[in-house]
Amino acid sequence: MGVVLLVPLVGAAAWDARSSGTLSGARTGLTIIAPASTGGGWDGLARQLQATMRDTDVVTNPQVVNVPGAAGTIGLAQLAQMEGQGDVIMITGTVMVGGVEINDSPVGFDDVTSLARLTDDYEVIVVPADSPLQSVDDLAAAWQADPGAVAVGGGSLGGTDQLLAAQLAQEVGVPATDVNYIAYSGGGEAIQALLSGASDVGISGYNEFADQIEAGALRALALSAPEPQPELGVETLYELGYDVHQGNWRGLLAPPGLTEEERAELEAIVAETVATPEWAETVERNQWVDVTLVGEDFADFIDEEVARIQAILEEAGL
Amino acid sequence: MEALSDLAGGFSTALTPMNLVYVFLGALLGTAVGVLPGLGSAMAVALLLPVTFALDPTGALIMLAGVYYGGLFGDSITGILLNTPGNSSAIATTIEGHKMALDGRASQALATSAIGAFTGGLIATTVVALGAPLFASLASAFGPAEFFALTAFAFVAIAFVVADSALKGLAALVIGFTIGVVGIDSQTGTVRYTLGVPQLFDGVGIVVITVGLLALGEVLFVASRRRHVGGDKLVAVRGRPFLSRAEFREALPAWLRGAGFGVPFGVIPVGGSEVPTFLSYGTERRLDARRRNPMFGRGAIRGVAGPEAAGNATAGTAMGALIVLALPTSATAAVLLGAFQQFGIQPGPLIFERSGEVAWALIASLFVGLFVLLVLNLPFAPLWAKLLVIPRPYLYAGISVFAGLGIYVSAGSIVDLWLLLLLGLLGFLMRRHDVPLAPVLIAVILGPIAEVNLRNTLAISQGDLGALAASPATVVVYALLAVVVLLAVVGKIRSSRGADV
Amino acid sequence: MSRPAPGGGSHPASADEPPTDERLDDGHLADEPPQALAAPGPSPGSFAVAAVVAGFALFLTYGLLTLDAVEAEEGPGPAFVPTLIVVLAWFTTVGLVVDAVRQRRAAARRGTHPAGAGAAPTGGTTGAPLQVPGTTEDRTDEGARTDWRSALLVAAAFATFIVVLQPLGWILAGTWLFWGVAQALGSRRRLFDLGVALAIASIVQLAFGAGLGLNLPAGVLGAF
Repeated sequence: MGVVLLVPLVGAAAWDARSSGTLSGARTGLTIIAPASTGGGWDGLARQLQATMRDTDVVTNPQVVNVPGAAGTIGLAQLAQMEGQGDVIMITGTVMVGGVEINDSPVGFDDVTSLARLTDDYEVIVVPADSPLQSVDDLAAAWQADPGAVAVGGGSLGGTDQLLAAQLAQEVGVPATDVNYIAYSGGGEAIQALLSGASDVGISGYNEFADQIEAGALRALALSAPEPQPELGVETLYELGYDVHQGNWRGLLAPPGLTEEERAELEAIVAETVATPEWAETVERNQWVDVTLVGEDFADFIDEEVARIQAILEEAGL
Repeated sequence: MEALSDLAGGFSTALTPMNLVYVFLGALLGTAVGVLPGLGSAMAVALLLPVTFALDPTGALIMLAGVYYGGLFGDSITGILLNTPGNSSAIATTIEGHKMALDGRASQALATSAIGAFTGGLIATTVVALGAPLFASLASAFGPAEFFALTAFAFVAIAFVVADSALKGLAALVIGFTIGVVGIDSQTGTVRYTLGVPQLFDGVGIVVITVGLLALGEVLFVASRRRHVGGDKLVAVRGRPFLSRAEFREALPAWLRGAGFGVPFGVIPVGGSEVPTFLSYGTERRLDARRRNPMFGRGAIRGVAGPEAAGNATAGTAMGALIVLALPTSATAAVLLGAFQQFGIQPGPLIFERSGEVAWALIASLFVGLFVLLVLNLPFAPLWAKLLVIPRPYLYAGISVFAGLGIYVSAGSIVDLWLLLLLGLLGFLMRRHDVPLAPVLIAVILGPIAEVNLRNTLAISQGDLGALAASPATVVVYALLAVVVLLAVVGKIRSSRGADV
Repeated sequence: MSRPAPGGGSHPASADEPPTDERLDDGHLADEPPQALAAPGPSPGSFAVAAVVAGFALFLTYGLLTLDAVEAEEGPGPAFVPTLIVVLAWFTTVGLVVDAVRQRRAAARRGTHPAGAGAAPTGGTTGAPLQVPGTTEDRTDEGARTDWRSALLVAAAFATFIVVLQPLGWILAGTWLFWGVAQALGSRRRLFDLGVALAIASIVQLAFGAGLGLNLPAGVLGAF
């Protein structure tokens, strides 16, 4: 009796394991690695890509795998070992470029295939509503007077928030090493530090602060976007006369050692996905900027980013 | 008054048959996932998120709210029955809860825990529904200096209670601090104690520590005792399955006190619900010691009631902080914040103006979810207790399998599994030599928070030590701390004098 | 008796080289107290605990000496808190050793094994939370009847599970883990247990792999 039940049970399980484990080709069972734990920005992008690919039938049954740790460099190291696997892609972004530098990762972007850039986000510089700082000029003046006295709160070390702080400081003639940057582990903590007056200045993605800005608890000084964003009512650093911009782009990598056909197939999948109205809707809903860039151009872009961010981090003493 | 009518509107949305089904499904799933070691509500919410895209936003959020509370009801069940809490939030409940189970009062312990979770959640949700503005002021009163004062207080208050042997308690604290200090230092990027293993750069996960020390350590310990403890079965469940009137009256004040501890902690991000649950445990134990017939150590019902109510009250106000302040104070809340944004709802001070209908429906469904969970859990308490009837080898084999599963799937990391085994062996050795485990977890959780906030305070003040006690809130906390220490010292002197005579 | 140098197992973070033998070393290390118990002597507990804490203290000291610290701009740097912990760790180690020696002397004077071995003189074990959940006689007569073989078998089963999880896949590895632990805990219906184990692993695969979309390794099954 027990055996009669056991056989179909084990059979079904084995079948399920087999179907999820087989190298089934990029069009049927593409694996999307999110090099972060569930709930973060990269995980969100991976799951939205998965949903879009599935709903539009670009890929029949895409899977998301989380490989969290060390600003994505653990995922990067794993991807570098998947030599020649044409059915895997991984999320990447600005933070990973910084992470490779900060963590002295032995694996870099040269060890994997650069696939595509997808989205961008810009940063916002805010102060508490009752702050004496009224403009970026005030911030520059305060920095020049005593950089240590201005506590700047943002995300983890080497991330986009700190990169922006370092660049702006340099732009106004303050050594980036003198910036009193306090790294908070989550958006919630960074907001809290501003509301309680512990941080004098906050830097984060616009979406994280948007609500507090609208509610009047925080005041936006400037955006880090390259183009003016009139609908937000906040000027960009360019518009204010500072030659600084800092995005938070996200893109896709693939394993090394792919054949031309495999690579072309993955690029086609990405191109088809981002061309769907469903993806446009997703971008809109998340208030991202679509900055799709596929293939060689993206590889060049990454090289530039690596060089640029290396230089900033060196200046900042990290 | 306006809030009440809005809430009534929310109830009319939440109580449609379809939404009730979602709450029910969510609660059931959350409980199931919460029961398994290593799989918490954060994971359940993250996994269900893609599934809920198919639903309308209200239905989806209602279902996720059910999962959120369900996980909290579920995580103490295995702790009480088998001494293997599935999550760090259930550790404090486990201490007395498992003793009750060994005493044959498993059903009562489960019922106490279910009602405690309900009470805590209910009080917290009521606070959220009626007192949202209160949150903003509380949250803005807490900066790094206040957090540091609070963790210092929690340390001392808890350490005095949970460690009976000073030396072994210290040994446990050292072990916990050591594990907690592993990883990249967030302020300077310095790599500490990772032995060059990149998987350790982000530190040792709290889930790995909890499951390793408590669940796997317990399996190893049980194995080492198997010849000695006769029989294949654990303990017989006896007595009525429900709480008697006397038991209810005994637990009631602890439920309320626990909720009192939990409510404020939901708004401030100091490590989730561990601190309030331990504070509640410590308080109940100290109050109990003054009674004529102390029950702690023998399965005190208050030791279950207090921490459980505290844990769920924290979760309740954390939900409020999320909705009203967009402040994610726990991992689960952070996942939920992402979920809200997915559905085009931006939590924050303006949520009631912009997405009022959904927000009120969500708050109403929190109430509904609590009732559903109580209804689900009370009759099931004796059924859960039947777990103890499963032959011991299968029971602990199952725990090992789920421990391995839970740790592996969260990060797909083999390194985490080795850590789990090492921590299991450590937990086993500690159990065998009577070193208490609770201080390890307290040190692991609070140590890093204390360090970060101490250093942030001093970085912001540019090294001025005075900043640590500059605000009225910090002064109050340190004054309380002094009183606690003084009372404890006086108590020790008195008792040792008494012993000398 | 003096304890050998603390083994790798007392380091929580020594997983960079996780070969099975290291873990077994740890087991052997801990395997000694029962023999020590044969002769009237110190409570083995205190020395064992001291050894574990000394292991942590060594790990902390080593880590602190090799710390490649980036200096903080303001206030205490990354080495500040570890330094405090190192001091506390060595202080605790010394305290535990002194305590153990004192206990041994007291026992020698009385010529008997100290009652309630493992109970530190500073406070006894009653109500020590989260680790004496059994009725006291279940758990506190340590050493006397510790079944090291069973505990080591459980640990070995788990270690094997970790090694084979990715190559063999979840279903086979999970089946092995369930079966192995059940055997170690004294179940004797080998074949029946295998069926139960296979069923549990399959249910997990279906519920979590197929149902919730979690990624369980397929292993050899994926190669067909």
